Amino acid sequence: MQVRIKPTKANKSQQIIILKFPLPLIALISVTLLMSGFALPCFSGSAYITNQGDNTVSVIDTDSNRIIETVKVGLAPVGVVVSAINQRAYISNVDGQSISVIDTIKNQLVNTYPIKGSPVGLLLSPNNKTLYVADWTEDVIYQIDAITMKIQSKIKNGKAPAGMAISPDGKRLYVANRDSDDVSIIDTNTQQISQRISVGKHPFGLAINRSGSELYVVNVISNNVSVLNTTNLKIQTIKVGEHPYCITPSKNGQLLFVTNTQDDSVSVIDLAQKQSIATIKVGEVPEGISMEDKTGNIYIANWGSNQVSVLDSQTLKILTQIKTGDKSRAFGKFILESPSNKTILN
Amino acid sequence: MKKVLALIVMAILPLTAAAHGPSPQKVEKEVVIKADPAKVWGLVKDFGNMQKWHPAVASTTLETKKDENGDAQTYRTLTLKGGGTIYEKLRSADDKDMQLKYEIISGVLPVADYNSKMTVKAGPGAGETTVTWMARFYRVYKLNPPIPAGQDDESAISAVTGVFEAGLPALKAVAEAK
Repeated sequence: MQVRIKPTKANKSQQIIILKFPLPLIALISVTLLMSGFALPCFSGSAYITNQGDNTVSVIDTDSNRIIETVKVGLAPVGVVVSAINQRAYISNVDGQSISVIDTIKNQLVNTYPIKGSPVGLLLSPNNKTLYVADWTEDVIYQIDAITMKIQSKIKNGKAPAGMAISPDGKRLYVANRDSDDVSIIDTNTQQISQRISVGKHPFGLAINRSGSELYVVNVISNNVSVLNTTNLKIQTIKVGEHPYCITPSKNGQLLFVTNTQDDSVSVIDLAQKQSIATIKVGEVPEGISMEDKTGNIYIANWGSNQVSVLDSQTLKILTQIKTGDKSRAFGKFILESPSNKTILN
Repeated sequence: MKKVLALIVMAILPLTAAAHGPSPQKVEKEVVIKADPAKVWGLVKDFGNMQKWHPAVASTTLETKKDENGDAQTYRTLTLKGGGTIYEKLRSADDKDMQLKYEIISGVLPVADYNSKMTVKAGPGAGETTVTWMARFYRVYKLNPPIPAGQDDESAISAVTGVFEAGLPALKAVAEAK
């Protein structure tokens, strides 16, 4: 009989110790654990949900789909990005004009760092060394050392930069400029905008596919998604619901899930057909959306109903709704993959 | 009542449709009415007759206009008893879900990018109906502090709260009357 270990803090510390051992040793430990009647405790992920109204982050264990911790951060948290390598969750506090950093092993606040302006969008470079912060009112992208949290540079950008995405090699940074109705492509070496591509009205959320060949742009006022071919820069447009905000590809990359804030729904786009194939009712005013890599489940933060909906990406059914804090937003990639899972896959 | 009207006319400010403050705000209120859901929904969905139940509204004028896409849309002008008007666009009136959605185009409320929905549901008890009124909006001043008086989050929230708190008990009274 297998005994399931709940992901306690102690278990999470063990995971990190395991990480430091070479692969054969991990296998040996795994076999030993299994033979002794224990399942590996290290496969559970965590979702970090920003709650604008409570100034907190709800941490959800994605195995049990329960809240395991609530962390106090700065004023009106909105953006989030997580790093398994750094063992950190980064939170943008738009009213607090600051970035809060959470230790994802202890699920405790490490520190809060002031930022001039209104930080909203957050992104990490593929090597997790650089944190990009989109500043909504100053129209700049801050480049910050993700460990020391020192600001390294400021990149002048279009108006009201919001969502960001980056190429897998880390060379091209894409920024949705809400009030310029375009996406800027920034060369991360020269830190200059190399191109600006017109999209729909008020682009907000961005996502990129695994290979980096396609960028997905959510146009809030146009009620559609621009699919940008990152090689020839051609755009195809796909209609979604009312006032869409954020987007994530499915695990296999064949579908896109888009939150429609004023329809209380998620549009499912089939990329082969280049059209929406289903609309799923979720909570009220859904904003942030992320995919959990182990199960492929889609997590949706509902600002209006203070909860997270978990959607099965295959059956397109809602699996559960998790009560979070007041006005959940979770703008960004908010699910921390299991570190051990990633190590073994690599 | 007077407080509500005072709040509404307190600041006559232009709405900024394009940009807004950093964080959206929410007001959500609920009332349980001892009346049939269909009857309550009949009052709620009647977009051109808000004066029938809201005590701050003196009269409602309905009009149909083409929007920028050439589609015919329904708008209303609420003339308030305390002075001033609010110009609103009907987004949808869904009979199946008993849900009305509308947005403010311009008016005296100190809010920006205001959209709202009223949902009518049967229950919790037999012969009862629950109405939920929810609005999402931003403050008028779109930039970081210092924020001018009357254009902050608190002003926006208290004005909307005033409208809801005056409206829902009155809706209940009208629905239960006949």
